[in-house]
Amino acid sequence: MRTFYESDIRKRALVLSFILAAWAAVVALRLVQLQVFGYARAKAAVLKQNQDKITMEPRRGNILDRNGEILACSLPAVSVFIRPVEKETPETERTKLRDLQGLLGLSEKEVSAILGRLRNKASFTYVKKKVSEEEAARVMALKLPGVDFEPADRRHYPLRGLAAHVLGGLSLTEDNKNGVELRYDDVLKGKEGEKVVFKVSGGRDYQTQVIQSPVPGRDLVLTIDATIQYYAEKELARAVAEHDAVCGTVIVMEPFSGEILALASFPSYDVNDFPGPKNAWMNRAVQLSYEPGSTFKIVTAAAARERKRVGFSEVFDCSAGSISVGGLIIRDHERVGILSFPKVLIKSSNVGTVLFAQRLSIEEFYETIKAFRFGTKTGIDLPAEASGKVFPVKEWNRKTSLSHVAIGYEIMATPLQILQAMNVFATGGRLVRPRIVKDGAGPAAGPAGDADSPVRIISEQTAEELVGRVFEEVVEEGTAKLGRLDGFGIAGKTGTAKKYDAALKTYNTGRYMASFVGFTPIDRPRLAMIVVLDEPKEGTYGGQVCAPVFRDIARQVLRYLRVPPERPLTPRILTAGMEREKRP
Amino acid sequence: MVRRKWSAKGIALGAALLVAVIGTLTFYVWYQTESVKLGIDVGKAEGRIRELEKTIETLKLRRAALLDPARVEKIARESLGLVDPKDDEVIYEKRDPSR
Repeated sequence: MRTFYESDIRKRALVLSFILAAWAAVVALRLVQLQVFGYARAKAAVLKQNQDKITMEPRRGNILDRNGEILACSLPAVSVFIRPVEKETPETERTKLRDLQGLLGLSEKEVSAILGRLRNKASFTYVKKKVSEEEAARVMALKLPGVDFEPADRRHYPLRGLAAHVLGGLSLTEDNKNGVELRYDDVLKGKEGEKVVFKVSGGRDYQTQVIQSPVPGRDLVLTIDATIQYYAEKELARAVAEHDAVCGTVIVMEPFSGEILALASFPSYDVNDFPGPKNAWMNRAVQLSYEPGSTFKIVTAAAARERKRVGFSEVFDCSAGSISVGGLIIRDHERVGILSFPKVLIKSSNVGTVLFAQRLSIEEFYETIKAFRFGTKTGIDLPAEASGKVFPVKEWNRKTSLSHVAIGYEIMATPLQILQAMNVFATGGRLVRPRIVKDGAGPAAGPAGDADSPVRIISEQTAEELVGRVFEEVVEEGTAKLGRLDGFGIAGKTGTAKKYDAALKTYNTGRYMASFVGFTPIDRPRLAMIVVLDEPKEGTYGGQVCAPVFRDIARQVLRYLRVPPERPLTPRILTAGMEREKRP
Repeated sequence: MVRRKWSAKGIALGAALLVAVIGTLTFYVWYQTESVKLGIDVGKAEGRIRELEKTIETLKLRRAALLDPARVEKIARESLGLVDPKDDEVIYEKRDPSR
C-alpha cells in the first residue's frame, strides 16, 4: 500500500512531467512554426545576412588593327566596394569614407551617395569602379572594416589619340561610349556572369560559388592600318595648322573592298581620357554634312556622259565668267574662255558645268544622284552617320536647282559619301560600301551578302573615259597641280565651296570648305582618299590646300604598301653641287 | 569462471580485419589529404595562370605602346637621324608571279 508521501510524490512527478511535456510541445510547435511555416521567410533572411549575389564582369574584347596591332584592350583592375558593418556608428562610417575619398579621389556627391546607401543598410555598394592596382593596394593597407575588393577590367588605348574617332572610347563607368566601342558594344562586352559569396557575420567571405561563368567579349579586327592612320592624322594636323583651318578630315579607303584604311578627324582627343573635350568628339568624316561644291561635278559629269548628252570634243563658251540662271548669277573663280567638255571640269568652270548639266532633265539628274547613294547613309559600321540631304524632285526649283546641284550646292553630303562617289570611278563604275570592321563582328556587322556586294551604277566605259580624259588631267594640268606625285598618276577633283550663313542668309561669308577627292595609282588603284579642310585661311582653294595633303599622304602610303611607281620617275640632274628637278 | 580460448584462425581473421580497417582508414585519410593538397596546388596553379595571363596582356599593351608609329618616327628622326629616302632611292622588290 502506498503511503501518503509516495502518493504525493507521484502526483507531483506527474504534474512536473505534464508541465515539461507541455513545454516541450510548445517548443516543438514553435520550431514547426519557424522551420515549416516560416521556412521561406527565415531562409530569405539568412541568405540576405550571409550571402551576396555578385555580378561577374566579362573581359571586354580587344580591338585590333588590320595587322593585329592592339588599338584597345582591357587589363585587370580592381573595384572597391563597401558593406555595412554591425554596430558601426555613422561617425565611424563617415571617417572611413573620408579616408577612402582621399585615396580614391571621390567627389563630395559620391561620398554622400555611398553614406546614404550605408544608412539604408544596402548590403553592397561600389566605392569606386576600376581603380588601378596601386590605388587598390593603398586602400588595402588601411584594413578598413567592411571595405572589400573585386577584380574588374579597365580599358586601355595604347596608341592614345590614334584613330580616336573610329574607336570612340569608353568611360570608366561604361555608361558613355562612342565609335566602334558603341557600335559593337554587344559583341565586345561579352555576357555577365553571376556568383554567390557566402560570408561570416563580420562580412568576410568564406566561400564563393559561381552560378554562371562570364562569357568574354569577342575581339574585333578593324580595317584600319595603324601606320596609314598615323600618316593621315599627322598630315591632317599639319595642314590644319599650316592653313589655320577650323577643322578637317581625311579618309583613306581601299577602292575595291571598300575597307577604310584610315579615318582621321581634327580636332582629336586621347581615347584614354574619354569623354574628353566635347568639341573633339564629332567624327567629321561621317557626321559632317556640307555642300560639297565642285567635287560634286564628278556626279554631274557621270550623269551627262552616261546618257551621252555631252561629247568630249564639245566646247562651251565660258568667256563671260558668269551665267544667269533663273535670275541668279553663277560665277567662275576666274574667266576661263572657251573650253572643251574635259577642260570645263579640269579647270572646274561653274559656267561650263551648268551649260552641259542643263542638257539633263531634273528627273534624270536626280536618278543619277540617288544611284550614287547621296541622301542615304553609306552603312559604314560607325554610329551617328549622317545621311546628307538630297531634296526630292518636287521640291526642286525648276529654274535654278538643277544648275545649283550640278555645281555642288543645294545638296548636302558627308566626306565619306563624296569619297564613295569618287571610288565608283576607281572601280570602273561600281559602288562599293565602305567598311571599317574586317573580322569578329559576326551578325552585328549589318547588311551582308548581296546588299554588301559592289553595284554597277555607271558603265565601265564612262568611268574609264572620265578618269583618263578628265580626272587625271585635273591633277596633271588643272586645279590640283599641286597634288602631282612623281611616279604615280592621280585622278581627282578639287572643291572649294562657299559656306552658307543661315543667320545672314548669304553665301558671301568669306568662309570656304576646301576639299580634294581622288585615287591612285590610276591603272590599278590601291587607295582612294578625300581631304577636307573647313575654313582654311591661308589659301582657300581645294587644289591649293587639300591636294598637297593628298599627295603627301599618298606618297607615304604607297611606299608603305610597297607599290612601285607606275611611271618613270623624274630624273634628278646634279650640276656643280646643285640639285634641280627637270620634268620630261 | 571459464576462460575462453581464441582459435588461431579467429585471431588471424581478427588481425586481418583490423589491418583492413586501419588500412582503409589510412587510405581514406591519405586520399582526403592528397585531395586537399592537390586542390590547393590546382588553386595556386590557376592563380599563377591568371597572373601570367595578366602579365602577357600587360606586355602586349606595352609592346603596342612602344610600337606607336609617332614614337617610332620620333626616335628614327631625332635619335637615329634617319630621313625619308628620295623616290629614286627606293628599290622595289620584283613580284614573283608564281606566288
